[in-house]
Amino acid sequence: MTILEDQPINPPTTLDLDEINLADPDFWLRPDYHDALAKLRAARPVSWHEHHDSGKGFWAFLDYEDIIAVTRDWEAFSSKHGIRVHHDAGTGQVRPGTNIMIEMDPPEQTANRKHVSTGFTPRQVRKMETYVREQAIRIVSEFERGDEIEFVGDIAARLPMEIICDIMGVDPADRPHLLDLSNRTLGDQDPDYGVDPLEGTKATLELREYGVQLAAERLENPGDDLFSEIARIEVDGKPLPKEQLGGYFALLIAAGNETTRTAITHGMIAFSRFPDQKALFQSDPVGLEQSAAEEIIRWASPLRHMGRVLTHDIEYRGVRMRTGEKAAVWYSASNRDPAVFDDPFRFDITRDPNLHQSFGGGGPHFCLGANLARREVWVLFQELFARFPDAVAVADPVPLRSVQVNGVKSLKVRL
Amino acid sequence: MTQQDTVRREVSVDLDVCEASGVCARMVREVFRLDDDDVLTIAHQPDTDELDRRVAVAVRRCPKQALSLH
Ligand code: HEM
Ligand code: SF4
Repeated sequence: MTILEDQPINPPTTLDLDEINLADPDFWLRPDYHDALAKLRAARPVSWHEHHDSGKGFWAFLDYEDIIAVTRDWEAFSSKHGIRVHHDAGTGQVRPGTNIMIEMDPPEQTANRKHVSTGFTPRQVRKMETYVREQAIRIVSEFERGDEIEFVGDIAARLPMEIICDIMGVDPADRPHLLDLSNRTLGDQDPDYGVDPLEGTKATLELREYGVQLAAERLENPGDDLFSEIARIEVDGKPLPKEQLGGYFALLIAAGNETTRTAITHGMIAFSRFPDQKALFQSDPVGLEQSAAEEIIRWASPLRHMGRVLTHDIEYRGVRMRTGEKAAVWYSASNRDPAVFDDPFRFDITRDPNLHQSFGGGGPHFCLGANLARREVWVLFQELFARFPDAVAVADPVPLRSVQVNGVKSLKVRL
Repeated sequence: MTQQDTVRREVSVDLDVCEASGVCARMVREVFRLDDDDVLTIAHQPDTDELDRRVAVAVRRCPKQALSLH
C-alpha cells in the first residue's frame, strides 16, 4: 500500500467555468484540474485565457478533433512567430527566437527537418537499442534493493540526458552542466527553482553557445554522431549559420529531456497507483513494451500544450480570432477525452489503439523523437523492474509549477 | 450498399514526402511496412471494412500527409 493508492484519480472540480484559467500556473497545481478541463471542453471547446501579469492571452483548443485540425492548418496557425504562449510581451518573458524548425513553417521547416529526421527513423532508433539499454542498466545498477531514492533526479532525468548526449556526441564531463541548463530553461515558472525568467533566457542562450562551439569542433573533426551530421547540413549549397546550429543543439537537448523524464516519472507514479498494471507489465515486459510505453506517455501528457500564432483573421466554431493572436492546443485535455479513450482515467497498459496526442496532433511538427522516447520509456521500466521488482513510490509527487510541462520535481521511491 | 458494391480504395505513399516515422506502420502493421532501409512499402492493400477503416485513420494521422487513398 502506498499513499498514492488512496487518492482519487479525478476529483470533481470546485471551479466555476469562468474561474478556469489555463494561463495561470497555479491552476495546474490543483488536484481537480482534469475535471475542470473536462467541464471547460464540454461548455467551451474554444476559449480565451489571459495571463494575470500581462493581461495578454491566447485561444485554447481542448477538443481532440479540433487539435488535429489546428495542428495541420499551419497556414492559419503558424509556428514561425513563436510557440510559447506563456511567455508574453510586457512580462519581461520574451525569449529570443530559436530560428530553427520548431519555429518555422513549411516549406522551410520541411527542408530543415529532412536533415535531422533521418537520425530518428525506426531503423536508426532500433540501432540505438544497445546503448539505451546499457545506459538504463548502468543507471539502475547504482542502487540496491531497499534504497529510498529521489526518482526524478536519480533515475528519470538521467536516462534521456545520457541518451541525447550520446546521440549528439557530448563529452560525459559536460553532461551535468547541460542538464542543469536544460532544467533552468523550463523551470522558470516555479519559485522553488529560484530561476527568474531572465535566468531561464540566459540558460537557453548558454545551451546554444555550447552548441555553437561543439558544431565548430565537429566541423573540424567530424564523428559519427548526429550533431556532426547536422553541422554539415547545407541549404542551397550554403552551410547553416552557426547560431542556427546552436539552436538545433539547444532544441534537441531541451526537447528530449524534460519531456521523456516527465513521462518516466509519471509512469512510476502510475505503476504505484495501479499495482495490477505493474504486475501485468512484470508478467510480460517484452510483449507489452509498446502498448505500455504508449499508455505511460498518454497518461503523462508531458507537454501540456503547444502554441501557434494566427496569421489571418478566421472564424472557428463560431469564434472569431484575429491576426497575431496566440492559440494553444491542450493535450492534457484531449488525452483524457472519453469520446476518444474508453475510461480515460484508467491507466491501462494494454490500451490499443492508443492514439493519444502527447507527441502532437499530427502535422508538420509531429514529435521527431517519438520513436526514441517510446524506447527509452519501455527499456527503463524493463530494467528497473528486472532489478527492483518491488519498486514503489512512497510519498506523494511534488509537481512542477508550470503551464507548459506536466513536470514532477520530486518523487520518493523505495526500490 | 451491400458489401460487394463497395469499391475499395487503394492506398499509396509519396516517398518524396514520407520521412519514415513509422506512424502508419504502428497503426496498421498488416498494410504498412518499413523495410530495413527505412523505405515505406504497402505490403497489402486493404481488403476488409475493418482494414479500410484503420487505413483511413492512418492516412489522416500521417504527420507528413504522405499517404493518399484513391
Ligand atoms: C515522451 C517524450 C516526448 C514528448 C511527449 C514530446 C512531445 C513533443 C511535442 C508535443 C512536439 C510538438 C508537436 C507539434 O507542435 O505539433 C514535439 C516536437 C519535437 N520533439 Fe518531442 N517529445 C518527446 C521526446 C522527444 C525526444 C526524445 C526528442 C529528441 C531527441 C524530441 C525531439 C523533438 C523535436 C526536434 C521536435 C520539433 C519537431 C519540428 O518542429 O519539426 N522529442 N515533441
Ligand atoms: S506515417 Fe507518413 S511519414 Fe510516417 S512512415 Fe507512414 S507514410 Fe511515412
